[in-house]
Amino acid sequence: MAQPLLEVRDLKKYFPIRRGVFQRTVGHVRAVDGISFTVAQGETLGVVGESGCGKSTMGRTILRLLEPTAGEATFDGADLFKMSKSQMRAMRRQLQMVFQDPYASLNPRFTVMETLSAPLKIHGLYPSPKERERRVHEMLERVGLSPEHARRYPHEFSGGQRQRIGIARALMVEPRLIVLDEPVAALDVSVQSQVLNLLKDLQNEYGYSYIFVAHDLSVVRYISHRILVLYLGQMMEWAETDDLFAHPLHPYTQALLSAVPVPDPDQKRERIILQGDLPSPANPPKGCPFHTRCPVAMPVCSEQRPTWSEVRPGHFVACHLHGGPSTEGGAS
Amino acid sequence: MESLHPQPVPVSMPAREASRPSLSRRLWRSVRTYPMLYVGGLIVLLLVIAAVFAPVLAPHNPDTQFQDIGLNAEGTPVGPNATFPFGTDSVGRDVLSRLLYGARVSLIVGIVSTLINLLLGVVIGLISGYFGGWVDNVLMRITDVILAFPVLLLSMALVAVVGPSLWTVLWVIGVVGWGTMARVVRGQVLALKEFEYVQAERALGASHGRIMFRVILPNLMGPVIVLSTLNVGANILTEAGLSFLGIGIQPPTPSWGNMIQEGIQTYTFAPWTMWFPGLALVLAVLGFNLLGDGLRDILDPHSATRR
Repeated sequence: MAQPLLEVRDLKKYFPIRRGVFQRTVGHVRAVDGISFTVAQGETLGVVGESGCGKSTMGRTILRLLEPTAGEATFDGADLFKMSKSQMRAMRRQLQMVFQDPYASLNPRFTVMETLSAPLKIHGLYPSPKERERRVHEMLERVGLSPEHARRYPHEFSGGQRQRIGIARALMVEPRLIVLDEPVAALDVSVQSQVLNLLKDLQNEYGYSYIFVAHDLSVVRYISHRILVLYLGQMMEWAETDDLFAHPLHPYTQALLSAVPVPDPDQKRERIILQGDLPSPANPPKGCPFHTRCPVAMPVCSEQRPTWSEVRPGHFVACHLHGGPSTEGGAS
Repeated sequence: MESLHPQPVPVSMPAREASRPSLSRRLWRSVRTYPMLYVGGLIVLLLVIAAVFAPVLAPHNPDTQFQDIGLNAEGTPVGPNATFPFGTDSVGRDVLSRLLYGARVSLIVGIVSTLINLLLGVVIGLISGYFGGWVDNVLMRITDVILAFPVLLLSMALVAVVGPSLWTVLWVIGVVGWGTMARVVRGQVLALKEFEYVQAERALGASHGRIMFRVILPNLMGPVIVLSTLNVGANILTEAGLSFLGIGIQPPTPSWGNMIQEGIQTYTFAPWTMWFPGLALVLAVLGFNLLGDGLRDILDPHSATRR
């Protein structure tokens, strides 16, 4: 793959825990703890993991809605984390976001026209109101709504329609990378597929890159080219979608995949049920963060953090079963 | 706001009609649901009419001293009668006419000083809540200091320095009374700025000014309107207090505060000189408070006072 559009290196986001009268920092919640990946032009990177594993924080930190603790994010050759706030504001034209809850992410007091023309006004595109209006109408059609919807308020729409408006808002400035933070999690299943297809069609036509954050594996499988699996803010596995589903290497990925329902009641499957709860990200386990719940944990797992290694071309995993070139093969 | 009428329609009413209920019926239902709102609104409306049309409504010139018919043989005020419905004061002026003109002072001071409160409180609260951190700390400590002083006391000190006049009173009350507004606005902003649609504006690259004034401000108008209405009543009371103490509106300009003060000297033998301005004051403050509470019931559907 050629020069990636976005390259994230060793991204960390810690939230301080403050206690007492003087608000002393007594520790950190390691929401995102050393994540690196790349996204190419026109690619969709799916990011999956349990609740609280830092998926959403990661997306928001890359867009600097939260300030990163450490790391680099090179977008088209420029480091986003070194930019001043005003440079970043201008940069937001190329980096957009779609939010999870289509009921909370649209201002109830703005009409669709106001919501959609805001990005144009903010970035000084299409200065004349006539032009802006034409552009909004165009975009509404592009996301499968009609121009007459422009005069209405968000409460007059269904969840799926609202999410289309949220997507349209992100597309108004013709961005290159869009972070989608669980964009279909709040929608009915029947509407989910419509929105997913819309996102896919838009990508095919205009070449947007997506970072698609979700917890629903079947959704991620459908839309992603590659998938990154996170656990407690750390990377577990990163591979092409088909490769990951066919040959999951990390025990955590295997457990996640075994939980995906299969539409065949007769098929016998081995479910891997994880024991115990997610450890606290304020006090992550030593060694591999997953060893406390891993069905195949070894003594070394609680001692050393496994290295991030490319086991097969394009297939990365952080697990002692597959760590280093000496241990070839392993369970799969 | 969607219509919020949780009360069942009274049984005596005819069964649901095919068309929408008539305007008068809907109004009546609304009055039944929010009686206090309408009582308060009515009082405030009457007050505004009294103030605006004082020259038309007043039976006499408020400053004319009726030495002949306005005073008894002993030189004492005459009680309520056909010529002077609310009686006269110690120098033979018509109490009703002075009350009507006094309403102008009360309303002007009450409303303009509230507008100053509003401006200061909203801007300070918005900046404080939106930026947080040390900005929030500094602004909220200043607010604490302002709130720690009784408004009347602080106003007295300031008026004593600047010298009493209508404009001084108005500015002083305006500059002193913004603390509560700033606090309430800050609290709302703290909640609102975490809403996804505010985050979405940030993701779009909107400036701080746009987010604060175009996005957050319109969404906190409800509590601001309620608090301002209550504030008008409180400021009317402060103005009356200052005038009563002799550092507000200066005689002979009529103000309810200085009328009560003057009435004190004659109230043993002419109690109406104190009763009527006192009653006007109570009614005005009550009116604004009822209106404010009623607006809260309508604008804030979570309020517990709704039945």
